[in-house]
Amino acid sequence: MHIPDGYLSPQTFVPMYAVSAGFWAVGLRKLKAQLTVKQVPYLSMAAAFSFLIMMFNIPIPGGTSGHAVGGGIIAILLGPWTAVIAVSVVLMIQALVFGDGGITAYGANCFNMAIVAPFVTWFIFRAVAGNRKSGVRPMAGAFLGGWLGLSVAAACAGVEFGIQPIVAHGPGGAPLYAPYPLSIALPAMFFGHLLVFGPFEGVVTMLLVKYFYSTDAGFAAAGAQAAGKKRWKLWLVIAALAALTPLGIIIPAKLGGGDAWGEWGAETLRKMLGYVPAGFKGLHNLWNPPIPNYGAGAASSGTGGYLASGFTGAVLAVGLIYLLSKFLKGGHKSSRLSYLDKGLSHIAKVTKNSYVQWELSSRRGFLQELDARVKVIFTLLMLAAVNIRKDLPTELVIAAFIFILALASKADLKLIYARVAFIGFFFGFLIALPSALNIITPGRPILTLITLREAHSFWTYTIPREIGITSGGLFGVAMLTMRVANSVSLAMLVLFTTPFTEIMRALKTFRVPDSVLAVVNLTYKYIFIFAKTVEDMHLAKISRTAGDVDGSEARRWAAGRMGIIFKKTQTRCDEIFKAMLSRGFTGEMRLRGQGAMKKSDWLALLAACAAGITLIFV
Amino acid sequence: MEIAVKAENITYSYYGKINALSGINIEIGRGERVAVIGSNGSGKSTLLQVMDGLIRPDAGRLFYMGREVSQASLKDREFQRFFRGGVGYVFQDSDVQLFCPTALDEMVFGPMQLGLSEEESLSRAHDVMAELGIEGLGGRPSYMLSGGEKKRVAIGSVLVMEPEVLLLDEPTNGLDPKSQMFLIELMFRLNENGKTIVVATHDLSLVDELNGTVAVLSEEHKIEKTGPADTVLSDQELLLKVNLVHEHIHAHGDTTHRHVHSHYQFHRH
Repeated sequence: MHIPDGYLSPQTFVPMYAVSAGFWAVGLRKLKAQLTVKQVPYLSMAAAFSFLIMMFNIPIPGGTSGHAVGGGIIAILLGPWTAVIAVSVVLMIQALVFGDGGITAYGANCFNMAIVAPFVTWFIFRAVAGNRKSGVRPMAGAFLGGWLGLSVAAACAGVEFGIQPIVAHGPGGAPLYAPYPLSIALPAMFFGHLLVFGPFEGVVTMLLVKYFYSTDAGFAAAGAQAAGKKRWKLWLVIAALAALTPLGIIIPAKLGGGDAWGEWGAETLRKMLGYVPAGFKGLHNLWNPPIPNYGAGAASSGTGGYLASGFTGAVLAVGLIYLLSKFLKGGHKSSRLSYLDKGLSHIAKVTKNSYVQWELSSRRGFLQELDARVKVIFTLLMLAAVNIRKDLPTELVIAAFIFILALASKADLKLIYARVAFIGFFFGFLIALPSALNIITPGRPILTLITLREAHSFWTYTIPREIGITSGGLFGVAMLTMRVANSVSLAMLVLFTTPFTEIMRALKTFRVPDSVLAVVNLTYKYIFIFAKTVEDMHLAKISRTAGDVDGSEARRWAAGRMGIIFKKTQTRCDEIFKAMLSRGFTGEMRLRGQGAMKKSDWLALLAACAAGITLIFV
Repeated sequence: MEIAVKAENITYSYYGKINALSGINIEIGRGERVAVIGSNGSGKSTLLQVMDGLIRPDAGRLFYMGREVSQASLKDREFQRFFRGGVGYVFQDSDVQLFCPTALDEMVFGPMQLGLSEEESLSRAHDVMAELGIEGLGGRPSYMLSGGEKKRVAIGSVLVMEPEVLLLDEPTNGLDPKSQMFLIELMFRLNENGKTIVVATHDLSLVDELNGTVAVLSEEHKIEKTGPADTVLSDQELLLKVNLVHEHIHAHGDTTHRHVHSHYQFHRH
């Protein structure tokens, strides 16, 4: 139902833009007034869902194909105005990035799919379901709503197609844009959707209503966050949907479903009509999308590209909705903390985390009993093994080993591995990800994402014709992610089981210069003072703030506070230096050493060395 | 009496603009108990920091045990040891003073900088910690100590250096009554052992308890008067002038009356 460029005359698409713009304006205003921070994830989830569901093409064998829109279910769960915005955002991504639906026809497409479909579904659902939350009526309402919503939307598209020969024709009466009259276009669009795609939309809508209404009886537009506990499950569903997108081209190809009605290209049109309408010629190549046809163009590798497009589109939809929400909420009065505020209080949390670390270190466990020197040697050996070995099994063995040690030390596994996952993802996986492509690591792709018309060469550099993920690249990504994760978990574990002061002393035993230790130690201490200052000032601010503070004022506040904090910091440093001078500090620092190691420490040291050497060389 | 610290015509200003001390002359005898009093911003802390050689006065000279303390003399290792080991400074803010990993490290920092061996430093540290009742805190980092414990560790970290002169900046500030009493008793004990105690404060009851010589700093950053505690504390006009007491109106039954309010004079407990 995505009308491409060239099918609608300016006499049609300009008014359609105007009508849709009215709805967008109201929708954005409603969203701005009602949107809460908690609803944003659902809104973005809805957009991602809508994007993906449209990728599941349903064939009518031997004829055309079509798809559901998902606008109806969004209207039922989050309200029709929310659906207007969510689906419009999705249609924009499809038009701009994937070339599905025209730029000029965007207004009309939004009218059909983002306005008519959600509202019709919503009205029918309300009429049938009433206030019931369970039983047959909501189910029936959802099915009927989804079915008829899409069908009416298709009928609108049919009318838009059908009036083109009337409103825009050449001197001889030849149509300039969409060539078929109302008598053909309207039935073709309407019946296809009424009989096949509409019922599919109805079933999807009904199943989702069933899911949400049974999960939480009170689930309604405003209470979307009520199901908050299940949110990660919903994201899983979205991800699964994205993973299944290839079905959306495999099934139509198997069953011989052709292009969707009214979405033919210039060549197809010439075959069907014997000519290409004059106005169509001028408009249909208006926009060159970066990923045309969802990457499904290349015959052999189409599914990979389609899959990647599914994920890309879903991520884009989520991202755009987040940006939009931020934009909407930007000038809105709210009691939320500003970003700077959040950042500052986040820094302050460092203090608390360190308390946790100290508390953990004093908890009884295997690693806590060991001498810090043994732990430092062990860490160095393991880090060497992690980074020297070039095979995944060793990395996995080390990961398992660290995990067992963490268990034996009764460490807070959730705390450690949450950080490991975070750092591993950003500094391992994301950084290495581009190298999985054969643009960077040469090799034969095992999964082709994009196929170019030809290979490009510049100087010594070549972009291959088929761009995709290579097995070597994939291995590299896995290795780097594992290495980062192993290094981080090791460091965390040792830090969490050793008081900071013990580590300092152990480093002294290894002849790290006193001045270096003094600097590290002062920095470490200083972080606490800094964090405490920030936290105190933050609390002082909260206690003095009544009611809402607008964004710019909050930013001014935070900026001023940063200045004061830095000034305080400097004064504090001066004072600490004086305190050191007063106690005889002359520039060279003398620190206390450490006691002798126990027998068990020596044993552990031996074991650590043996394990390290085995891991590195065997 | 032998003079421990002597300040001659000391003038100091922050950033060359904000006056903190103007023409201060003070002599502190060995074994004396001295309280430097004055309102907020009168220059008490600055004077103490000058006496510890931490900041260099714009004009004037400072002597310790008859030897001049100056930028030049502080460069000399022998004098440095003599002066730093002889004068200890307890900062108002314990957080500033505690910069080592643990309380025990804090204790041994000073002695080790003075060149003592690790064993001797440790044995001194244990003695002082026992005396201050903080034996159990040795392994704790400073951020895991309460306000009172921090103060004890801070004082301990100075005492292990066995100084002749102890400079304390607002030592009872923010402490609970029990810790305050402990501190006052400690100061007396140290004084009886021959240590010179110099306290900067605006707490008149502490001045009264200490009952030593009092130097009054005016808001013009000059020494307004020096004398024994009871004479200074009973001079209401002087205390009113330097803003250490204030006029106070209150009612007793039906009659309202006005008097100078000082917790020392009229509300003695």
